[in-house]
Amino acid sequence: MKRLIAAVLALALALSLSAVALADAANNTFIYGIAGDPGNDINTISTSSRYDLTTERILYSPLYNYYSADDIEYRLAESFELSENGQELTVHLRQGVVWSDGEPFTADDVVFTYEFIINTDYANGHDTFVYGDQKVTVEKIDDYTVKFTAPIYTPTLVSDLAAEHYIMAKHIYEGDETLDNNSKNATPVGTGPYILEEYKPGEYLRFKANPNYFLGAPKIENVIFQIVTDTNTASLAVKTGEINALFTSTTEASSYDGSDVSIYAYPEGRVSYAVFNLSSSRTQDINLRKAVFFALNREEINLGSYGSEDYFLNAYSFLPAGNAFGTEDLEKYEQNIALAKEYLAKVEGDIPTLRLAYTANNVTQETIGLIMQQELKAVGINLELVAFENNAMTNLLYAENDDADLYLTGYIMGDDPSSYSSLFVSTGSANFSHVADEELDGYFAAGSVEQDQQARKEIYYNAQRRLADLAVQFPFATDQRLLVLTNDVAGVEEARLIPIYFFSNLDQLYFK
Amino acid sequence: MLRYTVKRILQAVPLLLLISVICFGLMQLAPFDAIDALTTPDMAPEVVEAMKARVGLDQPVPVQYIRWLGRMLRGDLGYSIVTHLSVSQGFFSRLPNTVLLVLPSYAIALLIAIVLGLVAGSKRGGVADKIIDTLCSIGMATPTFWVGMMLVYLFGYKLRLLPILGMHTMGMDSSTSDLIRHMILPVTVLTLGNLPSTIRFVRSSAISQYSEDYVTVQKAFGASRAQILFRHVVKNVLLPVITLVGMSLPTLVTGAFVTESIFSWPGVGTYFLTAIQGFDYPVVMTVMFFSSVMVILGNLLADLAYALVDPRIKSMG
Repeated sequence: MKRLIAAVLALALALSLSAVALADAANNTFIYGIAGDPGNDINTISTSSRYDLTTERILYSPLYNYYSADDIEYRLAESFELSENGQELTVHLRQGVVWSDGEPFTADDVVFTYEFIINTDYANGHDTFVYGDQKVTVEKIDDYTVKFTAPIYTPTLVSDLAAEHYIMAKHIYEGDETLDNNSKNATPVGTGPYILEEYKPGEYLRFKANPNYFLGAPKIENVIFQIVTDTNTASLAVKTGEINALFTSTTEASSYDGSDVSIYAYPEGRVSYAVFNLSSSRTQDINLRKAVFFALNREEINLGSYGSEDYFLNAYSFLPAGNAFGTEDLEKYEQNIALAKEYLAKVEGDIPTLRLAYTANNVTQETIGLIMQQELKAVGINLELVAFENNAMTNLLYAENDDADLYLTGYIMGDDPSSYSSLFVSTGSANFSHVADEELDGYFAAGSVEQDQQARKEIYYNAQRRLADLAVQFPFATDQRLLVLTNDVAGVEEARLIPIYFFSNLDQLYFK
Repeated sequence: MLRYTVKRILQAVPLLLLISVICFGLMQLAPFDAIDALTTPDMAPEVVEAMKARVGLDQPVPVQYIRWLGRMLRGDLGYSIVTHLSVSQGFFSRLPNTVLLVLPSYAIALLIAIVLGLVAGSKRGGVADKIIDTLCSIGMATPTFWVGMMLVYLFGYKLRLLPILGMHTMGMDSSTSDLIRHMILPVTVLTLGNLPSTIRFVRSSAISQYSEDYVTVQKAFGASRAQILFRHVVKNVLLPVITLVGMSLPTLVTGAFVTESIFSWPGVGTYFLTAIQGFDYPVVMTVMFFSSVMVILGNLLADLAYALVDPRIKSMG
């Protein structure tokens, strides 16, 4: 018995010592809980979903961070000049920057990156550089100067060049047929604040500070993206300090009361919405689509899924609430059960059971789905909810398929309405609904080159009305994003919380 | 014994082949194929066709099956449609993590179950039997995820005694004590999950043994309760437990879905769940195939072990 007690005490001591040791290790390590596995295929061309982009941002650097015309942080660029006609942008690059493998960064890398994006259909943001048969061109002026030339005037050239675009190393990828599924992506060579040290599938990505980072070595030495598979456990883990940061849903915000954490709510300009998949055989009848939209109660869904009016604004068009180009003079699809039933009666044949796809572990989307299910049931439409893993949901959105009829998702596309074209024009790279409408295409084509502001507004008002009339997208809300952060972390203001990612400059965070 | 062993192994081979045919057939029915994981939308059709030819997808189905089987036997399981990573790398890197959870929890559950099952079965209807039976009923009616969340809340959050996420504290990957700390809660959840049915199995086995003639004879000879239990009944009770252990072999692959998910444990369970949510057929099929193989292997091992300890089986075989 004495031996048993001694063994138990020895084990307890060993475990306690390891707890002390891990506390020491934790001081230098920032752990961010993410609800999806970014994999080890991160590249600067096709990467587009939230956690993939977050990973990309700390490994690579952009030319500059564009927040607004008056708020630009220069990174690989030192400055730029825009020509008077707004079509030429000359960018002066920072000198003395080295890639994480020690090679120097030059204008060749910038030209190589943007040429790849401009000439590759699957590249993220490719559409913003293409105007019919013409494309933006990029040329090297000297080793540290490049010039971008747009074929026609575009009001968004400066912001487009910085939107989710990071520079990749020419000496690494030159000659490769594809950047997607490229084995070199597993060992990224970047100019970002951190270097990928280890990727464990399904477990974590571990980064170490890049000692050669051109803005100075990051304050926190190690960063971990820990993949979490259960939101409840992850929530408790951030309360205990086992992880430092986690995005939470608005309905769970109050559960953190009394914990040693702070919640940062910030607007992302994100539109949360349901959209019909028009490549599905069951969604072709516009009467069915209108019946669905008139059966839904936007306010009920938003209150149910966001918990409080503090966390959302109702959205009625594809633009975020409050956007300067937005209009509410369109078909809002306010709930009207009688009208819903009227449209349903016009549907030819049997009413199909519809499948709604959403991202697994997303509490807000799950709640929206459940409320939609009940509201549609009330008019006689069956809605089946199917949760997809984060990457699979992304794949599904991009593919023409018969697996889902409606998607629950959201987007953050910025202030300028032209950037929304990729979602709704027939050839758009992110045309998840697969809508193909000449009138709508025409509005987006005209709006992207119109220089008169009032005329531009009219064009986009019409685009919003047309999309609503097609009964393809049901916008719910422009919502807020909530980051839970342990109170031992400081530097939040300097690091800047930004849409899509979490921190713009993760290197600015530090432990108190 | 050798003849019996060879006979049983030979019987298992066609079953394994049948399973491989079913798995391959299901993969053929899926709307995506392995090449979709390696191509991009802008690739020219001739490039895609060349890639298909390179991996043999342009061949007739039976030829593809033979080649697929050959690759499987060499450990090449294809690529995930979602992550584009090698399935064999993904599967075999997670398998030890699952075994690390399931094996100790099952061993602990078995030991506790044998003791409690014998105690309960030795005096059917007694106080101990009733208490154990009630606890088993409660255990069977309690969902694993609830037990998991309660333990996480109590020991991870309220008492702050144990970690609740993953296998390691970051930066302490080589620390065994850190690994043990991370294992305690999930292993406890799995042990509690396995206990009730195993206790009941041992209990019913013990009850049936107590009604055997040899027990009556021992009683007539004046043997004590403990002597009957530990010298005679235990051996016979443990015989059916061999079957139970054999049949539990597949749990080494698929036995901890819920628990792994709660604790973000990077095992086969979370891999499989993620694959199901992502319609990641190559991964789903791999896990299903290995799970089926383990069922057959478990049966085979149970039969062989039975034959080893029970001479009657050998003579029948």
